[in-house]
Amino acid sequence: MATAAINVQNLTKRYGPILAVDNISFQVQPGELVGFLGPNGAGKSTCMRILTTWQPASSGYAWLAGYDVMYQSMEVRQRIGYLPESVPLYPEMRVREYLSYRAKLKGVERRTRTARIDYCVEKCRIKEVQNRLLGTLSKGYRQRVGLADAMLAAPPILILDEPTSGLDPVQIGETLNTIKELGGQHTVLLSTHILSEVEKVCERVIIINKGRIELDETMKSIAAREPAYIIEVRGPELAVSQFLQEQPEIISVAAVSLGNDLTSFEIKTKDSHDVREELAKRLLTRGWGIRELSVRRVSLEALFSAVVLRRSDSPDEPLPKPLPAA
Amino acid sequence: MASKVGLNRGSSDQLEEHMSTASPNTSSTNPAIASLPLSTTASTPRETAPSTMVDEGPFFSRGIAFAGLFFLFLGAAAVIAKRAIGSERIISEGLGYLFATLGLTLMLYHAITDSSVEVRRGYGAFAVFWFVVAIAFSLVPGPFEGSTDKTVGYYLMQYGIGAGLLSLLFALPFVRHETDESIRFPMLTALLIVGALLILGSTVVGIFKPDFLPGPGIALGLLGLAYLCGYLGQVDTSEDLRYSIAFALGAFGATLIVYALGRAIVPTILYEGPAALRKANQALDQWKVLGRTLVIFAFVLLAIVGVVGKVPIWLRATLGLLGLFGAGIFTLASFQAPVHVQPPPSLVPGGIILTGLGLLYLTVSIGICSDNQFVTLTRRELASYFLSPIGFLVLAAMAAAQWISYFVFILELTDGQPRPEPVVREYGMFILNIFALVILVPVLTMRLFAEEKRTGSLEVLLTAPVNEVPVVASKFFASWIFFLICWIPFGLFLIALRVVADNPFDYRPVLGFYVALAAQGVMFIGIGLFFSALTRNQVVAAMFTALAMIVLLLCTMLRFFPGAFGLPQTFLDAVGRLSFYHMLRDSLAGQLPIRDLALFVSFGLFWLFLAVKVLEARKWS
Repeated sequence: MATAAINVQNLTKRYGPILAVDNISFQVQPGELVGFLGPNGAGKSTCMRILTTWQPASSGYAWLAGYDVMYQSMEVRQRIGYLPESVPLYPEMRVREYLSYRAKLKGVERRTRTARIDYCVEKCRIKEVQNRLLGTLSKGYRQRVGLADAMLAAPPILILDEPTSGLDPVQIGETLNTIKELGGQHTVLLSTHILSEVEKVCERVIIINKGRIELDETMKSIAAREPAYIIEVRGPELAVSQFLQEQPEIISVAAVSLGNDLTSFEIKTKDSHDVREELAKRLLTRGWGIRELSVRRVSLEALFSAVVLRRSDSPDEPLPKPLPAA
Repeated sequence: MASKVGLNRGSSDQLEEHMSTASPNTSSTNPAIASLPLSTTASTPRETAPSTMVDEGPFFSRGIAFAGLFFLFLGAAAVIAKRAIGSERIISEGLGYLFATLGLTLMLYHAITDSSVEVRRGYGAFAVFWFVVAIAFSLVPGPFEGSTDKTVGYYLMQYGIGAGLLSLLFALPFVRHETDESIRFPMLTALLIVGALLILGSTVVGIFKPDFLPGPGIALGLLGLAYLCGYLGQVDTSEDLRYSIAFALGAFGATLIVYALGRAIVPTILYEGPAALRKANQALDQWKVLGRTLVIFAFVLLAIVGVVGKVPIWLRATLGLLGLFGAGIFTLASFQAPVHVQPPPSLVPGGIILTGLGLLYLTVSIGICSDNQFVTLTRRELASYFLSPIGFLVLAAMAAAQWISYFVFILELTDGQPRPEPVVREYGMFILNIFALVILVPVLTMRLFAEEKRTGSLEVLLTAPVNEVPVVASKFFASWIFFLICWIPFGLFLIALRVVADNPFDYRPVLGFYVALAAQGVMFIGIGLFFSALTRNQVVAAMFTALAMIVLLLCTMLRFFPGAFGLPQTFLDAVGRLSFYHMLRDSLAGQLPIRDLALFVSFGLFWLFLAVKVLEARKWS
């Protein structure tokens, strides 16, 4: 197996008494597009700042493309493109001038420089503002200039801290498409707290909360988690429940009464077996009416809220709930 | 008047620089924009910026332009009437020049802001007109002082240079706005050709007629450089052809330096021959022999290092040849004297001027061609002074302060009393200058790191593959250059005194003053940089720097009171060395001890070292 693009081992970062990142470990393979999820203040930005060599870790190791972030900082920096959360730009420079300056700084070869800047400008859709002063740009354009800057030297690893914050929905879609296209050629680590973005583009998601990794799974395996079936039946609740539990494929039944003889059942089956047609037939033969029959796959949102809420509900956490129940 | 012309020239050079830094966009975008509708209209609608740029309407700037035109005609009429009739009516000639200048400035504003076809082409034609005027003035013969017959070039310095500069100033907005390549390209090429011809011509004539150099030589060389910068600022210099042009400029500059120094040194060495190594009694002087051996050794070393170094092949060959040539000349001169006629002195002023021009060409070329991180960063830092109003405000304030001290100095001079040299001391040590120096340093340096820390751009900068050392060095170097630029008016006023008022005085202490200022600048900027690196608040940085400057002023005060506060004399002596006031005063008196220079420079380097460590400290856990 090739060297992992990002390899983090037992990374911890304290700011004085505050524990920002707590002993996290993960690997990202070359070409992967990983979403780094977490509520505000979970330690995402801190983690990224350590990976970009801007800050030192309190303990633990991190290697990017096989280089240690602490001891081989220059080698690491030659291989990353970083978009920080606030996208600081020099307000007195013009977009194109800034990109040209950054390209020189990053050692983009003179003969390919113009073409490369053109390519990044095209990709990030900032052509129409390329002669404007950076100080006059809107947040969305600043984000895209930052993204173009991160891509300039065609680095193998891109670290993007909330690349879509401050964009309107159309721009979010376009930016995510750009990032998705980058996946494959580049390893992308993308932090955000907006779940739908991750669902759209990422192949893998890491959920971090209060400095700890709570979940590290590929989107495929999340999608392949056992689905639950929802069935709303008009009929005596007890009898229906009894009947459902007797079915051989079904392992668990949870009932919620909706009143007026209507009950919603959440059913889990063996081996993710899809039982909907069979079940409907059997229920109908008993003379019970079916109002709704649907499948509910495990969504990222459910996982996320579960993770975040569990953490803050646990007894060793004296803090109040950070998020309302979603 | 001469000082005013000189001042204008200085600031227009900065304008060139400014334009060349803002350059790379315009050139390459035009073809890109032209091709945009073809490629994208079919697939997706062209995206527009949410806050699109709305032209502020041509009416405002056109109104300005008409006012400008009015003032230009008014001023020109006044000047021409004075020349034709011989007497002034209503508007004096000086006021006429002032009106004309004002009018041209307003028109330049219009040329820069209004890009509609007829306007920009009009200004293009205007630029051509001024160019023709410049040529005409250079060719019309006129009577030089003391001779009755008229000579070509009499009006060159008076009007030719100014008209040429005006032509460039109006040509630049034209090529910037013009989208029709068939018109834009000839204009750009004309800029290139004129610039190259001026540079080459002034050098060649200057080499054969050294008297030409101080005056027209410098002016034409600088004007040529301005044209060339105008050209290079409007094209994409990463492209091979344009890169080669910028590169050739640098090569030319380097050749000029080598030539000027070589011409000053080689004939003298060969004329003196082995006699230079002997004492008055013809005995061989061991120390001189040792010195000569070291020089030869240094040249051989240069050749060896050049040839085996990791540099491009042409540079290796050049360095090798240069080293061998130098070693050969010095060896030859140690044994015989092949030149029998005493060579005329060529270093002052011709050699110095040629070297200076060469250095300028080389610097511009390096700024454009080099991809070195230090050069790139320095360019950005220096440009940021000129891209914000702060830089110009500081320059204006410094020029005003120096003008006041010059004014007071002139008032004192005109009392008719003879006074001992160096007369410039009272001018340089005027209290306002010292005050301005103390204020200037925090103003220049407070922004450097504090601003970048506050906005977070330092994070972007240092997560790029850049080390702390070039970052600190470039920020220091750029502000040090700007610090010295702030003192240029000081010298320009003296040129006025010497040339216009025809008042010969000893100018050499002024050179010493600049050297002392440069050395002290290293320490001042170093201190400011360090405090700026400590905090993210500019005001705090400025306060600490000002405090440090006041402490240095206290060192000066202590030197006026020997035995002050019952402090031990050794301490007072040591602290007194840090008195920048006394060092400046000594330098204006013609004394420039190396130990003082070394002290200030080494202190400066110490603060820079600390600044690097402060930046690195974020990584210490």
